[in-house]
Amino acid sequence: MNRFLGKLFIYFEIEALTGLRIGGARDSAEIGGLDNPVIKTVDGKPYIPASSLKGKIRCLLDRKDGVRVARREGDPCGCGQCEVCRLFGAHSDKNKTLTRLCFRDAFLNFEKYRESLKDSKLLDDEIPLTEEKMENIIDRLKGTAQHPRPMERVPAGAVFDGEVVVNFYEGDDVKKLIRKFWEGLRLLVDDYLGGSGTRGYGKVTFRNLAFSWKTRKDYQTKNQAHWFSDIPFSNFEDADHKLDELCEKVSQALYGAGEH
Amino acid sequence: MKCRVVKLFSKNVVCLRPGAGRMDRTESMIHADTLFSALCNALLKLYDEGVLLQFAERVVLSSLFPGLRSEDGKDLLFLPRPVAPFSTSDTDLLRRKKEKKVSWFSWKAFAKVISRFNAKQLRFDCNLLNEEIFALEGRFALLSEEKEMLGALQGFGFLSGVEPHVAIDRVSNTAFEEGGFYFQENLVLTTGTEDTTPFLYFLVHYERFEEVLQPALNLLVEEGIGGERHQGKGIFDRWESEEIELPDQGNYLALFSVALPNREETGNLIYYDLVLRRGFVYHGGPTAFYKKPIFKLVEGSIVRLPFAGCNIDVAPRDDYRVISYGKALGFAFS
Repeated sequence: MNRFLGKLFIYFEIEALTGLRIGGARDSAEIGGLDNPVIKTVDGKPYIPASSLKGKIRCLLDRKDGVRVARREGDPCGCGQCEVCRLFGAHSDKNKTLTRLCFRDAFLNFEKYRESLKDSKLLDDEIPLTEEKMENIIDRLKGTAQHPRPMERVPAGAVFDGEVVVNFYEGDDVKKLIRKFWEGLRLLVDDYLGGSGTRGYGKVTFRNLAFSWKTRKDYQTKNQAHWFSDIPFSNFEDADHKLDELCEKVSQALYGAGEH
Repeated sequence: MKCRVVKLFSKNVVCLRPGAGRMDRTESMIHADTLFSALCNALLKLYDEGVLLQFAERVVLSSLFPGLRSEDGKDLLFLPRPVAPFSTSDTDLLRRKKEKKVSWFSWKAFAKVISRFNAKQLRFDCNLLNEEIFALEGRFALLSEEKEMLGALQGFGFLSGVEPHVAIDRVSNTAFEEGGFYFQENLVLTTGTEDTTPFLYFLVHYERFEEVLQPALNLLVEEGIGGERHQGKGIFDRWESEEIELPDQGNYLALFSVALPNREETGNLIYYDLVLRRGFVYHGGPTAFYKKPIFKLVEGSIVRLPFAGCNIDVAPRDDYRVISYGKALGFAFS
């Protein structure tokens, strides 16, 4: 077993630039209720499940790099060798690898959401956390609507607090792994999150990005994280420009003196 | 016996996935053996196997139980209901149903219940419906002197939340026809009021707490406990600890951990339920092996002292050693 070296923590806010729809389960069949609800926490607030973020980023990377070994057509890569397999864990019983990425659920930042609606003069208990959007199909001959269906979605402007942790083990090419994950984020920003993306749903961006890391030694001593920058990067592009510097610093820290 | 109470806090909802063999099923709590295994994995990441083996031999710990921190920073810790029968003189069936529903006691209420043990008839001569002594709220029982916390208990407790998941075909970008859409159940600790903070806690007795266990706990809260950790389940933000004195002298023991009796201790069982512990072994590597299934005594079982319990090797292969935790930690009484 390869020794554990440390962790890189990536904190960010995900802002929905268009309506965001990650489907949830209906608790009950309410008369007149919505057919297609979004996923919500137990206290009724919409959130972005970690699995949605992880699945989407992996899917985008798989499509870009190509799937080398798959159990059946359309499955994720299971080669166990490529960076995607190393980061997300190989989708195979035979070529298993450790999963290095750990995503966290991204919860709605209600303060920021309220701030984005400050001109609407809504009271706190009136602020809607979701919106209903009607979808239909137009009959090509008659020009009339068919199959009308209401879709629930999180309105544009909603901000979610997210976090991803990357674990590193002895022998890992730290820079390569960070760059590959970052590539996934870049692809996501240019694609969509959740459902109905081809209809304009789910355009997101990352804001207020911050990075910290802890080595194995840090856990054994004061358990203090080392921050890359005192101030978070306000937008994705700013953080993007600093990626090489971040890779260098994390790599040095993890493979630095006394750590390896 | 001096123990540490370790409290695990999360700034968001406490959400765990203690698997129960199917994606849409969860265990009702995190058992001591799961916690032990998570701690061992954290230790192995930080230290060598020698430290791990010493830890496995010496540590005694409980399962994870719920707690609630009030607005003024007071903590209310809950313990599982003892498995032994309770006597009640109440004939009102609706009220008796209310009493039967209780499955968690505050520490004070637990101590009160335990002090009413009738050793001759092996039952608790204790009427939980006596409002001068107890205050009940759903599945929780407090002492009447703790009544001011009753309001905070509304909406507090474990809930099972179901999350829909979709596996997307890389080629067609739609859900796979077979197994593409499935539900995953999670165990969520909730509170109905915003000014209270729910948390999980466990008791641990280990001499090298600061030196060895503290770093492991630092890592454990970030690594997580239970299943689906790469999706952020079972993760916490911070932990706190304090010392506590746990009674260890007496004739009987109410278990706070899933325990496995030694051969000579099997005659000491009084009231118990069994829980089947099985599943896969995660050993710091990617490959999982199916463990030997084994029955253990549940939390709240009553046994006669001496009762130490034991760890057992449940490795499926000869070239592996897989320690399944089964030592007894509990509240001793006479």
